[in-house]
Amino acid sequence: MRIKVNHTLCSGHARCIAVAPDVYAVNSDGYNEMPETEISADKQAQALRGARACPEQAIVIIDGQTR
Amino acid sequence: MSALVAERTDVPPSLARKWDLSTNPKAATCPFHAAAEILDGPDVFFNPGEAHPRSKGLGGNWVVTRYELQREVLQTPEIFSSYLISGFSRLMGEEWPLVPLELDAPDHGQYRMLLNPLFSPARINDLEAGVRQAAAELIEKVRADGGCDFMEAFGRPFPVGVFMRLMGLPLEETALFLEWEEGLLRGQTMDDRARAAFSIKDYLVRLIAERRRRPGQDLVSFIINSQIDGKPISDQRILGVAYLLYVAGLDTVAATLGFTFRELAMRPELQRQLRADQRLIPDAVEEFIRAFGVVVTYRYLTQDYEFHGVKMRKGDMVEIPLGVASRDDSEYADPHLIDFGRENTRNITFAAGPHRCIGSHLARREFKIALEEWMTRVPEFRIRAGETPKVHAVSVWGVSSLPLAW
Repeated sequence: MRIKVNHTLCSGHARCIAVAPDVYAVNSDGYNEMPETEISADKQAQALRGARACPEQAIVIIDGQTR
Repeated sequence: MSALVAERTDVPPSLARKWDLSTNPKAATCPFHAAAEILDGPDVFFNPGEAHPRSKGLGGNWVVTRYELQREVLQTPEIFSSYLISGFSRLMGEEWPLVPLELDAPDHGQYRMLLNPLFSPARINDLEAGVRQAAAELIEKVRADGGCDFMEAFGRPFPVGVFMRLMGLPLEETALFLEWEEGLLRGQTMDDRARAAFSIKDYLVRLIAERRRRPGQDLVSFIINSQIDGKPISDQRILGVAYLLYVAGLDTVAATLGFTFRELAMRPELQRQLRADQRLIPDAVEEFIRAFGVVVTYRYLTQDYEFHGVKMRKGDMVEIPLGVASRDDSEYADPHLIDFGRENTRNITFAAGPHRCIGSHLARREFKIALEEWMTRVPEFRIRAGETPKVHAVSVWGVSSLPLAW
């Protein structure tokens, strides 16, 4: 599974890191600047929860389990 | 009938619908339940009536109801502009924008980038101790009384205190700021509101001049001493920032606290969940934010545009009642139910797109601290016997009176 963040859509709600702090990181202003990132099996459930928490729907899950 | 009302002959009759929460008796019990009734009709409709202060004399405005459609409007600022949408400066017969709320790109991004660090999640941690102290002091004043009007004792003064501390203002002036807020947002006449608007403006203009003379560690001093594109920031823009900070974080937080504590008072089992385990509080905060979108925001069309089959014209106003998205059953199962274990609490209560509320992290922390301090210091509380909370659905949807007893 990989996560891909649309940085243009990200508006700094910081819900991704609030819900899934082991997967997501934000910069000092609270915006997600993560590059496309591979997610280990043990963190996939968290990654999905974090992606779903984004009000901008800026996080896309690639090659993972279906939602 | 106002001279500003005009016939919109281009709007198909099936899309025209008069919507006025102030005439809906259900709104006096719960504006969210009352407002959600419009989800039975078209997703986008035209509400005829008085022109918004920003529009060019066209009577009425579009209303976007569904969560997904509201999100889309908010994520499309090049079509849906924010310039002067709040109407506050117009109230005074003036024409300067709240900053950065009423700016569009490219100015918006410049001011937003300047201010973001002051309200970032990390910065909020620095403010926590002061916010918690403010909460504790207010609660301790009433704890031994066995009851209070929550809005008077806590809901209104708590966010004002946070604002005063942020701006480096003397806490003795809190009552004055509360009075102006009441006048500005709920003044009986336009004159009352304009008078309050001018009082706030005059105070902030004097404050800015004072901080130029004697800079401090506060927000206004920071902006005065900042630059954009290598140039200092104009007085009008500084006023725009200060005014926005005043209006943005008061009523919104107070209203959300009012609805939150009304719910807790009506459903003591929710209190018991939080008292048993305060680690549930962050999830509870998010669910309350989800359910209580108290702000109604606006945009206007920069060009003719077809939005999901609806032909909108350049200059048209679009109303976005975020509290309807809160209760959209397309987004949330059983949307009127407050459930701390709800899976999907993603919400646009703080809007979406570039104008996402800059104070959202501070607001979340205020709610978290309010719940923690009340659950810790005050026993289980209920609505005082024989009394009824009062709510209003004018400007920001809020609670005007919440009598509690414990």
